[in-house]
Amino acid sequence: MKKLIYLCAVILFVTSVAQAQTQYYTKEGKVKFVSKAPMEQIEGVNKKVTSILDIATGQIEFSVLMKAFEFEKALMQEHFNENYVESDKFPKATFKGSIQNNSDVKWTVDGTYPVKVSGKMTLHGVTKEISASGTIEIKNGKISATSAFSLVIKDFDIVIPSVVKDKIAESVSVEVNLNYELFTSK
Amino acid sequence: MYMKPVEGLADADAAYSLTSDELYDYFDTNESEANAKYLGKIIEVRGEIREFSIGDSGDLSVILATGNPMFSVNIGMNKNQTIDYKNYKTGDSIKVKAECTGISMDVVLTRGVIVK
Repeated sequence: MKKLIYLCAVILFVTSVAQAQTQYYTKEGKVKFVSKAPMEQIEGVNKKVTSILDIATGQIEFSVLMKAFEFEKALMQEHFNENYVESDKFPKATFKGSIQNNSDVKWTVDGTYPVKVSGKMTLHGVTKEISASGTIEIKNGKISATSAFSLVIKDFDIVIPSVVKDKIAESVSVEVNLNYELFTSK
Repeated sequence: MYMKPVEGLADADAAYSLTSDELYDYFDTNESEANAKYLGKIIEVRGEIREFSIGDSGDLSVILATGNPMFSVNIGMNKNQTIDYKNYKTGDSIKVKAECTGISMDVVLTRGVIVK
């Protein structure tokens, strides 16, 4: 009986180690959005984006704290939080999805791999299916990911008053930069 | 007024003062209640430095220990803090004033300045 318990414990340990070695994370990811309207260009940058990537399954998740977006001008930051994304009411944007062509990425071989990611993004309390192209770069075993895509803000029930429509674009471009670390329990 | 830059926090009054342990525990226990109380507020946080982190674009973060070894209070520092932090090392106690933005894995604060 003791041998059986020991065997089960070993199997559980090996399984959990194997699973952990496929999971990567970052707490310092960067998401930048740019709104280019006729009268004004607005940029917000968030350097505290959390992401988890499982290279075995290609599953990828993001969590973006809306109040962690930083702007050059104080009123831009205030309008973004209070009038548009309503960050007190909706403090986080999230994405849960997967790399559609995960099998094309040789995770143990240095290189640059084009990927397509699809999943559900929740922003301003609205959840939408989105897809985006991106690039996975593996260099000396370190994994980094980049992507650029556009979001139509009315898709997320963000209303732009007509009085400022020349200052805020209907579609904003989004850039994502992530440098992952292997998930290990310290 | 529209062109006024985002102000630094050096002269700002903190709405709350607490330890990194207390702040993390509050968010971990009841995120929505903690959000209602601290989101967007200037907070003075005291704690032990777990590590300093320099991001890809050279941005400094001070990572404060909590009771949970996996998770921290993660404070993005103002650019003008890159000299002051060199007076500290891992394990030292530090007091930082910053804006609370919520919890992801860590509790995240931004625009941090060291309180001397």
